[in-house]
Amino acid sequence: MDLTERNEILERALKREKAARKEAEKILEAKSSELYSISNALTQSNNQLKELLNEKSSELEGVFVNIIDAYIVMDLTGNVIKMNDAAINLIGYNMTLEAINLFELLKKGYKDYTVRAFKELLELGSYSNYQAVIITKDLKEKIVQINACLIYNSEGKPIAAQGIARDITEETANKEMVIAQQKQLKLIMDNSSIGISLSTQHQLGLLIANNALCNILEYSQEEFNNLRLQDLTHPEDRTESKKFLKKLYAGEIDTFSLEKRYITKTNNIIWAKTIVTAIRDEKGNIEYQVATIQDITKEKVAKEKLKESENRLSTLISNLQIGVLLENENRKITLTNKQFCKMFSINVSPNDLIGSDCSNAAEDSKHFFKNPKAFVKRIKELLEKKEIVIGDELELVNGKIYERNYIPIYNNGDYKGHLWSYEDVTIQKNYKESLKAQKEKYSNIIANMKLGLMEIDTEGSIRFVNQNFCEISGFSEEELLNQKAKSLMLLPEDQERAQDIINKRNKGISDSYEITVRTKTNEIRHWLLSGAPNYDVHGKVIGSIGIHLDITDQKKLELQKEELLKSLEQQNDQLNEYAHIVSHDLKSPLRNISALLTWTKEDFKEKLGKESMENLDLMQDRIEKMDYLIENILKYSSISNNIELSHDVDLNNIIDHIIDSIHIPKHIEIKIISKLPTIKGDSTRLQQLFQNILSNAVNYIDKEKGLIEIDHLENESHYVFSIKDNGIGIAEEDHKKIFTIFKSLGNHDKSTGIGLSIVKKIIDLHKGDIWLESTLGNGTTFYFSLKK
Amino acid sequence: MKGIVFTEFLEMVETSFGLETVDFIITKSKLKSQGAYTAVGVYDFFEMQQLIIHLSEKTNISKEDLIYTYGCYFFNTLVRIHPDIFKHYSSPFAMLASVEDHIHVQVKKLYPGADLPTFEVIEFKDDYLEMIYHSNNAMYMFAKALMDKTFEYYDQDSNITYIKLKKDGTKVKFLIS
Repeated sequence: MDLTERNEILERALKREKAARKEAEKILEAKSSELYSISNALTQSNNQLKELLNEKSSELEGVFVNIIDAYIVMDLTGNVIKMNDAAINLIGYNMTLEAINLFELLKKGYKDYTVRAFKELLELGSYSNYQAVIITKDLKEKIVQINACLIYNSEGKPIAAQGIARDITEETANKEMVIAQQKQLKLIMDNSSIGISLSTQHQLGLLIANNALCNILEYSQEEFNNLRLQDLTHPEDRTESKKFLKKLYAGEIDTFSLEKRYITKTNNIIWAKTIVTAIRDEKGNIEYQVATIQDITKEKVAKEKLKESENRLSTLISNLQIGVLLENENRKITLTNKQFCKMFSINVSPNDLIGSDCSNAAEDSKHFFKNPKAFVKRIKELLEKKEIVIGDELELVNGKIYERNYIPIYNNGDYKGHLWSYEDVTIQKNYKESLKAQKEKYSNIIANMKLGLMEIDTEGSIRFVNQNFCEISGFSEEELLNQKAKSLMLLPEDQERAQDIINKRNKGISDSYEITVRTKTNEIRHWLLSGAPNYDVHGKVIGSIGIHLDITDQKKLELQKEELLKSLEQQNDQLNEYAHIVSHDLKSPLRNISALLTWTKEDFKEKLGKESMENLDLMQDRIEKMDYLIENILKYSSISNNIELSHDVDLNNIIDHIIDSIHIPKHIEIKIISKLPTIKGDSTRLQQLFQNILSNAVNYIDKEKGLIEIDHLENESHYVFSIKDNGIGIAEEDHKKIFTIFKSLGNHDKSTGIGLSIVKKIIDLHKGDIWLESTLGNGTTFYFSLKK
Repeated sequence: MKGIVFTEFLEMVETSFGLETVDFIITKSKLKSQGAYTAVGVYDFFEMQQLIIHLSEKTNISKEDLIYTYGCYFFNTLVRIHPDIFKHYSSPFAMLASVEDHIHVQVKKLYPGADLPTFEVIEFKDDYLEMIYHSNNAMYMFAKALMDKTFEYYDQDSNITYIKLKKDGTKVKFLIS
């Protein structure tokens, strides 16, 4: 860099430095002159302050220090020099904004008084309780009370006056109001229906007793001068009353309220609500006692009655078999009962639920119901609509059915809550359902049964017929209804009888009988009719119901049977007669032949050879056998139906008799296992029965040593006998055959093939049965039963 | 703008680049004050702008870097003039957080007409500070330099980043941790 250039730079720098210095000096000069003027101002204000301080201290010498009241300083001509905010508030003018002369604010008529007061202020230096009315800036009148004193300068000369002004507008108004109120109070006292008294603790009698008190208790105001209320208290209520008074005197309470009885001057007992209030002085001592009494005799009686009826009601509700829940408008419980708690498994006493919130009740109890969602929805719906809903049916999970009613409660059109009631209708419901099912069942039966059903009224007019009745009568339902049944279908000769029957029904008698009817097609039919009176719900006969069965066909069959029986009887008789004749006619030639043979044998004993004699013997045997056969046929045919079954027959005797009368070979033993009973029956037939079986047993024993055992046992209706032998036995295929007549299995001499047929017939007559067990070669056991 | 900012700036330029550079930038700039600055005076910010622009031209150093460098330089000046100020704060965070409410209040007392930036504290924790710088002078790099130096003064590591909320740099958010 060349020197010249550098010099130039430095010159410029120097120039700048000089300029900067001058600038700085200029700034500093300005600052110092500023400081000088500030210092001057400070000195001036300091002096002012000093002066002010003097004035202030003189002002402060007055009594008005730190005042909340309006404070005003004015010069001696009334111009305001100083005022505080309260003063601005009071008069509405602000001295910093405008000049104020206090004398100009005065209301007309206060000038003279003010002049006098100001004069006194100047003379005495102070003035108290100056009262005047001023007009404020907003043109309102205010009553002010001013206490003022003078302000003196350092030389002791009065230069101004200062004063505290108080707005007493309100106070004055208050005073007037108090007087007015006192008047009102007296009016109220005199006209109140409530008895009011004022007394002190230590003075006998009442200071004040109003008209109502005198009226209620029937004493005059003068009389109350020497009478206290406690003297009139009913003796029974005195203790209680004194207890409270004691507390009041002790300062424990300031007031008490009591319902008690008084005795009036004419000795009437009245109930009165008494409120006693202590009015205490600052120390808490009782200055006065105010007692008010209100005659509540009527209310008391009404209340007692109400309470009684409330008690009755609440007992009723709490024991009701219907669950009740009363909620107020805020869904708080105001009443519920035991049944409600029981129905919803709430293990709390109903009284403990009072006040509980129900907003969530639906959600909390929805699990009880089969359809919880619908339950909650329905509750919401009911609560929204607030209309009476009766008879909602709710199915519970446990199978029960509740019926619910919702009743909103309105008082003067205002919704005040609602009542829920729940009733367990499970039984009624089930009963109804089963009744319905029953009815359906019987309706079905009636409609489908093959019996004609007809209902008639007391006059005999048809009220109802079923399908089958139409079918059997041939008439349609329209043709039958409201017609007289008897004239429509009965034969003329039966009319009278039908009327008798109708009369019988009307007397409540039911019976069955046969009747002959004529159907629509003029066919004569026989009906069996079962009729019964029909009652209404009050038990009054309203007609009869008849069930009709067409028995025409059976009737015909019966007639045929009767005819058949008759012919059978005749044939039987003929047959019996025939059997007698035949057997008799057959037997006598046989006897003749036998006699002839005997004679022949005697006569030709010598001439005939031995062989011929044997043949003759055989002939005689055959004849004897034939005779025996004929006799048995006779016996069989003579067992008829008409036997006596009422005689007592000792079967032991019967057996003994048989053993004596039939020939029993020595190698055969008859054993009776248990003693046989005595039964009702025909002794001859019973002997035939046992004898036939026993003879068979004896005849067919092929063993060296024969044994026959007789035993029996009994059941409820029958005796069952068994006769067991160790004979040849009977093949299985023959078991049935042997009871048929003329069926003999063996070739025994005396076997006619009739014996077991007789046995079967006798057992049939004794209403029994016969069967057997047998093993070929080992023996046979016959069992038979006889009715007891 | 306070005269001290100008005098100190020219002082730095003279020390770093020589009197010729000082002369150059003053001559080149159109200055109402003719470049004669006194610390007690007050000058238009526009003059500072011109000086920086011309210094940048002359030295080929970016304006931001120049401002930042000047910030660092000025911090030392502040420490020299007001060494007591740091005694009031226990940490650089506390110091920076109270710039607006405390330090600037004191500055205003001394220089009622001072044209100061504002620092709005968004979040202030023991080890984290977030504040928004606001000044029409857009000297946020100057502010950043002062912040960095503050941490350096307390001998603490720092991580100071910033987001320009306005393109011209008159509103900048500082995230200090």
